[in-house]
Amino acid sequence: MSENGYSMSDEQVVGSALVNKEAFGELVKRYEARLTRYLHRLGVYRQEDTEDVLQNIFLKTYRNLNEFDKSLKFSSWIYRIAHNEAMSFFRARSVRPEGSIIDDSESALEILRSNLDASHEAERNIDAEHLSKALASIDAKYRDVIVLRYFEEREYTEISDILRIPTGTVATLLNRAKKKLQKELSHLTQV
Amino acid sequence: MNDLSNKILERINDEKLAPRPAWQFAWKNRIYWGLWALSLAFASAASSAILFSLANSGWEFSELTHDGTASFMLSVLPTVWIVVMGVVLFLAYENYRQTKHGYRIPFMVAVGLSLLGATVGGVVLYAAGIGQLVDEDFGGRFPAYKTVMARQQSSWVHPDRGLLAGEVMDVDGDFRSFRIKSFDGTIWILGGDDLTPKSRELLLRHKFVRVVGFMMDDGNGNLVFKPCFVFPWEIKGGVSDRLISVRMQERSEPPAVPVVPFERKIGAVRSTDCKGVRPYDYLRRLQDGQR
Repeated sequence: MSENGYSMSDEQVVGSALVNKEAFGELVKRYEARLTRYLHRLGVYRQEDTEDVLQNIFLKTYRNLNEFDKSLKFSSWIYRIAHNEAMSFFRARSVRPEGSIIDDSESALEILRSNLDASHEAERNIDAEHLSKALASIDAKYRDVIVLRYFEEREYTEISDILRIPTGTVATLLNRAKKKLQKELSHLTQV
Repeated sequence: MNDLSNKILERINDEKLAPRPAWQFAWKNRIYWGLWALSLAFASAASSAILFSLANSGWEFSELTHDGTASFMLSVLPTVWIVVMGVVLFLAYENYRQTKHGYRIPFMVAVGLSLLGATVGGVVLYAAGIGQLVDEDFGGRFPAYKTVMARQQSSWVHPDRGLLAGEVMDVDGDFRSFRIKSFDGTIWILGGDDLTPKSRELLLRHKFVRVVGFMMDDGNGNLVFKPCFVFPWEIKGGVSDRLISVRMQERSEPPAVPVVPFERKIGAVRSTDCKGVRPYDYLRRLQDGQR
């Protein structure tokens, strides 16, 4: 399966998994690492929690394979499920995402730095620790778009499909998110 | 296979999990579309009731029935139906958003399109007479709600302000007197000497009328209502004249004593008393335009 699986697109693997459940293992393999990183970035960072949430994501994906809309990218669809599961996890635990979101992506930090249009030298030199703190302190709706856009490197239409919001709203949220993040960073660097 | 893949496949086997059938998702989508259509139908019904209320608010008589434009606007605004329409439009949006690609359309566009659909639907329903049914049959079920016709009727049984409306019971041959059963059930015997020719014509032609006049002393210390103008009591966008008549009659209380006040003046020449009714010229012009 693996050998064939690698040459198949995600959408084709979904078609196979509907007939042969073993094929679903290929999708798990393809998305395990990516979704683990995404969950960390959303604030699910304890290993046992991440494993639980990941299992729920894949089981839900399998149960709902027939709901997959072929006009979307499979990755957008599974990220949507992952996002919803993470939100359910926070609700069930009555917790909000904490820090330590950013610890793995220097390139993402670089992209974010260039997009923040920082006017102060201090803001241009933001590090992962500051950014984690700043991200943790802004609203979840802003954090979600920042993570998807700059850390997961998703297009606006993909973010729209993942969060189920219009593309225009993605742009608005992202714009506001950057301003809020910049404000938080500026506050943190002054302390 | 790695660890997680194996774990997931084991759980799928152990818990005998299988993908939910496609028809369930197709139906879920159809149900949301159905709920959207239902919400839009309700919004159209509310919209038709708004149109019916606005069309029958008596704009042309606002100067007579109300003290000012602001008080008139406040009293005729169909607040209940506007709120109902707002709520169902929101429900329509929420259901639409749950459809497969519903989230892609911005809130304002989705609500704007729904509002447009509800307005077009409302115009069609209003033209078919459904607006009246919604306002009276549906709105009338709630004791606290006063239908537009009930509001109109109560503001037109105010002889002290020169306003009277109800059913024409009979008119004598030379218009010396005619009887009206006002909407509160009182039977009025009124003198018709000072009625304009057009008023007389309308009196004969219409079953329900509005009468504009004033209260005056009859010379014996009694206040009597002097009619000057007659206008038809028409319902715009109603179901049918017959149904409307039946409804109004059902609403009226049975008359206890078929009397008072009696307009005593009898004479062939019209007096100039009615010239004092304000706005006289406007009422003349308005009456000339009546069919």
